[in-house]
Amino acid sequence: MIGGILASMGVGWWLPLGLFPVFGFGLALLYRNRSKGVRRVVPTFFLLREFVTEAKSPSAIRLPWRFFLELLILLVLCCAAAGIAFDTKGKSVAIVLDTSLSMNARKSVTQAGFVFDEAKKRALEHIGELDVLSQVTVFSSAPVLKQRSAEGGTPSEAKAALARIEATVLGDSLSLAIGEIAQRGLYDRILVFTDRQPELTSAQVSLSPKGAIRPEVMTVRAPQGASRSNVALGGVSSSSGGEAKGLTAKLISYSDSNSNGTVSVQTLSKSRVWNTTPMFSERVKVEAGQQVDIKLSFAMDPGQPYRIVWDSDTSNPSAQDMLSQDDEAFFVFTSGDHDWKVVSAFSDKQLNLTKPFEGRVRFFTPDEFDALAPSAKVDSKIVFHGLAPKELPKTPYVIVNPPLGSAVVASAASSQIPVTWDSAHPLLSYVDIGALKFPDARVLTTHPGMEEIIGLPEGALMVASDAQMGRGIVVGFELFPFEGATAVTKSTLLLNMLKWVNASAVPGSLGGNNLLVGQRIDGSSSNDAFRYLGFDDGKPLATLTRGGLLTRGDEFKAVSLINSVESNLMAQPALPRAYPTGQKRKTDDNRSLSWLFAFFAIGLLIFDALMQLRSSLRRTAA
Amino acid sequence: VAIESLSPETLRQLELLTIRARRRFHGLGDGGHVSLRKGHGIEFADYRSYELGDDPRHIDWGVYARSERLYVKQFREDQNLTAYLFLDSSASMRNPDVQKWSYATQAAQGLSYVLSMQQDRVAMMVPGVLTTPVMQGPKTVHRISKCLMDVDWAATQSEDFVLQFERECGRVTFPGIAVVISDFLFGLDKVQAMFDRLRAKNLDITALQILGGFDVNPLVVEESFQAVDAETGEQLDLCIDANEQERYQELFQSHQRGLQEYFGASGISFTSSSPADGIVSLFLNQLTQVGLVR
Repeated sequence: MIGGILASMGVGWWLPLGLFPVFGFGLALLYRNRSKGVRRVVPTFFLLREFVTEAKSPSAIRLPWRFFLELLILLVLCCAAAGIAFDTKGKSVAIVLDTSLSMNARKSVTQAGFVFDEAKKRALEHIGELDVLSQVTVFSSAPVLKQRSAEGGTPSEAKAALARIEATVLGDSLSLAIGEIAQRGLYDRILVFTDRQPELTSAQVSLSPKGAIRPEVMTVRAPQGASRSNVALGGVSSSSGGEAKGLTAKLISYSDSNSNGTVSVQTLSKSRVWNTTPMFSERVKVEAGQQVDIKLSFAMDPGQPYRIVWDSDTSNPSAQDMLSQDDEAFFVFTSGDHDWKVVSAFSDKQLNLTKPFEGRVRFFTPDEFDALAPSAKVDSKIVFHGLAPKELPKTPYVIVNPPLGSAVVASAASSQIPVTWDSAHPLLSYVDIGALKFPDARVLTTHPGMEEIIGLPEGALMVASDAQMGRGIVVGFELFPFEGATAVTKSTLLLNMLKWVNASAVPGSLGGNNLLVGQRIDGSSSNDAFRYLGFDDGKPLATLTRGGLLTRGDEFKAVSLINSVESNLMAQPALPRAYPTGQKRKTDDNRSLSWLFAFFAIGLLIFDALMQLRSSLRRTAA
Repeated sequence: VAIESLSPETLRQLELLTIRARRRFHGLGDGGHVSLRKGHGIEFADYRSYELGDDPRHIDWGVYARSERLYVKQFREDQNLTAYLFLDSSASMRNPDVQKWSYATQAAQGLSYVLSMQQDRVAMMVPGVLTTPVMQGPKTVHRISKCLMDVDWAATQSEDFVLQFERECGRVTFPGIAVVISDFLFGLDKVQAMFDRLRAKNLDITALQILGGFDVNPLVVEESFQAVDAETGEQLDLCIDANEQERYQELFQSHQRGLQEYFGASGISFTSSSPADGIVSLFLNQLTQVGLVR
């Protein structure tokens, strides 16, 4: 009740302590008045005066020991109130539930239930231990931070919100989520329920306006030593040779024993459900801790989504798959929607871009392009092919295979095989540069502000400029036409270039080298294949830079819902508890201390009342 | 404070008692006390030579036979006694313990009753308030009671009891006994001044100290209070603990020892009583022990 009053008044812990001197002074005045108020007529001061003279000056106020007792009671009550106020103010708690893929893992081979259920149970227990006055806000961390309950809600509201949360099949963004919560500065405690230790930087915990807040991480995992074998579909890509040749599925074993199972491919029926009868299946044995690429050869239809599933044999319980969500992947081969211009001396037929991009490309000769209005030249997806402007344009640009003698070309290249490339750069996402050869390449001039993306022994083969006025890419090799074994790779590279060049200055867009895990990117798509990838509306998408999921923009090439970090249950290190076993948490100590103060004050009050009764009886007897 | 406050049973018990002086005094009439006057009596006093006019019945013929001289036997004459009852009516006797004052007046009335029953002369003196003439006879106690009842105590002035007492001592004109009833809660120097003045009047003095519960223990432990002097109205802020109360008791006992030493050295009978003792016990025990009552 006191805490409620204090909370409703917004009273801090310092106020009861600050009021103690005021109360103490009031008590002293009360005692002074009380001592004057109680008049006792005595026969004579003859002996009394002598006695008082010996003891103390008659004019001095002599406070009895009960005054000091009641002063102590007051102090203890103030401390209790301060503790409750401190507790009340300290009850702004953020509950962060890891909803990443790995939380779907089973607790153990022999034990029913899932890690996520255990985490929810632990979170509910912690909320139950909080004071009813606590202000609890529930968050889920994957794929991006999402607030799941009203800000500063009651524990019961938090429990209800917590019960509605389900684990996703997406990647982990826990560190980023915790940092974002800390930066809000609204919470005194951050309780994290996860299966792994988040990698928190000091900046993430010190940016809080309330000062450094160390998140209390509660790890929920299967017991150490228990088998947590898992085979995951580590990736799906189109096989070399184009869309009609089938797919390649990468199986990764996170197990200490061999796994046997079947890889199958399902298609979508007319009633929009996956056909239970696979159009293709193959039995596979995956060695412990190994990766294996499985070629799935079948005729692919453009625009048709495919579901690739791994089914492990369940005859051996110890080899049973602990995480079923990473056993499936999806693949849609589609060219998507495009609207871009190519300025080239070659014709569309010569470049052969119509088929893979469904004719959304417009070709311009240099003369035709010059005749365009200036507005049509700015912020457009424009590719200069075989041409090079005298000066590098300030608007976004892509220059493919510039002619020798132009300003961006240093010399002709003698070698064909690249030796360096920045595989982490978004331009090279899903592009296997190591498998390519570049005949008739050019060594490019690296202007200030330009970054080498692909390098030959002689110099740069591909450079990119991330200037504030506009991005630009210069490619020193021929990209068109998309033919043969390099068609998929080169078309992917072109799409990456167009995305990167046209990416706005919005942080986190597909344009920088520092994309953070779980960082949100908004895009849209009319392709209903997204719905089968876990995004009902297809709008809020997350990009994971770790291998696996690519969901971005209008197009996508290969999609897998797995994440190697999430799937690797065995690689998780043993984590220390946030606090030693048997040791109470800080707020529990505060609360206990408050109650201790309160009980102590009650005891003193009872003692004081008994002393008062005793004095009354003595007076009556006298 | 009427004589009716003494119950008939108490009065009957008092009738059996007598008050005796430790010395012999001259009386003013016949009474039950052997006086210094030689004359008719029972107790032999002396011989003297026969003079013309002496009653021949008093001639000791035996002495004449041995010495052939006429001697007349002389006897102590039994006379009455004059008693002065001093009653302290200061505020400390009446406040806050009214039983103490009632007990003191009962003691004074009891003494006057016993004295009047043995035909002694009694004067009641309440310093500063009341001084009765020396009275004798059965109505004495009633007249004293009436005088006490007629006093408007609320209108009495709180003056220094010792000064008033010394003033009253000037009215003592005849030797006899004096009984001073007071709580003697004032300085020993004042007590000495009082009684030295009284001793000069050639009186057989008895000091009867009446103490109430507040006199012995006016302090309540573990309570802070404002003490008010019943006599002067002076105020003191006090807070007493057990040790301080014990210290007060030491002071009180020291004062009592001082009184006993002074009275003992001065030949003054001293006894102390409290309302809890009861008036009968006062006469049968305390006053008997000091020899005032037999």
